[in-house]
Amino acid sequence: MRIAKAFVFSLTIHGGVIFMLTEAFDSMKVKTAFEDLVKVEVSNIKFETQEYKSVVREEKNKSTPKFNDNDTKAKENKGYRKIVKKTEKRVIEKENQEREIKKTEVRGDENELQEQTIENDVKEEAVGELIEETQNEKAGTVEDSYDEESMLSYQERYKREHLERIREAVKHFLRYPLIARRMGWEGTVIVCFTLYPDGEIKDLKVEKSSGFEILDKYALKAISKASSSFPRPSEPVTIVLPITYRLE
Amino acid sequence: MERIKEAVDYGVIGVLLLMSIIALTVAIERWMFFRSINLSLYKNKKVLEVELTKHIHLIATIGSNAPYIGLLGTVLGIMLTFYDIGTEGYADPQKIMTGLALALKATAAGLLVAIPSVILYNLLLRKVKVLLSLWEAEYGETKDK
Repeated sequence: MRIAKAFVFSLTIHGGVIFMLTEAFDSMKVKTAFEDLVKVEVSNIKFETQEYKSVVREEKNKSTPKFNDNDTKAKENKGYRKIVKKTEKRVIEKENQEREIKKTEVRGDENELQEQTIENDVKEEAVGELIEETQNEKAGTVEDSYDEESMLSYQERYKREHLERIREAVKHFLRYPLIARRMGWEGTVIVCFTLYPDGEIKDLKVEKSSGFEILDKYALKAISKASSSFPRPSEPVTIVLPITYRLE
Repeated sequence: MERIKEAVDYGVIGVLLLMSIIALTVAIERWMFFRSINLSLYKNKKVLEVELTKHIHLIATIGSNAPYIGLLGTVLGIMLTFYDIGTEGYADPQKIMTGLALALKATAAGLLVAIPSVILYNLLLRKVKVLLSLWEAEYGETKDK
């Protein structure tokens, strides 16, 4: 009789203590594990332009030795190659090398950025010459490609320098919605926005939803809050940002 | 492997929980008994002592053994974690650390059971001594004569 009573007491006390412990542990866990709970990643900026860049570089590498072998061979290539921009590149390369053959020979595989800037400078001159010659329409495309490339390289540079800061800023403002935490909602939302030099953000939109409206909403909110602490670019930069909500 | 891990985890924690419940039950039962005891009913000191110290050894046992069971759980947990790492071939620090942290929780639970048990045991022993002394003071000499 007495032992049964004592047993019931004991059970209730244990229940209370365990309940309190789990509550305390849960709240502690949420606080400390928050960094792990929310993962932010900044991915590549634009896929098409990146691809294009690689093509250009490839072409550059190819055309340089070819030209040294034979001038006309490159021109033949230009004839049957369908892609205008690629062949354009080669023409520029030619123009370029007619003037400074030795210089181009030397820079076969130097570091990319340096090469690119030199390349750009020279290209501009080359474009001018091209216009003087008969290839007016083609020159236009060259200029386009030049613009695109310089912008891309700027984006690349921006990304490389400030990716960590953007990530930290967004992470700082990101909250895991309580209801999502309770319900165990997880997912990756891909957000896309354009950052302007005055620090403004435009075209903020969800590119790919996580499947839960509230997660998307919180991600957008975090980015618009964090935008003031983003490093300012000197040109508009388009950023694609996957935000992963994950519960442990 | 996952199942063994879970079994170890829940097994150790479950055993500790059971021990804790038993210890507390005995302690409460003893406390209630001490409060309701009528010392004049006992003719012999030895009989009274036996009656007073009934089941108290359980608390002592639990108090001294709970840390060992906790340690056993930790050792098994670490063992399994290392085994996992060994079979996978590379060390993922996240996995190791969470494995070790979860293993250590068994030790914590063991200590959490042991400390109150030891305290309760000491309290009860003191109470037994007090009651025995009281009995001796009041009835000892007269009953002996």
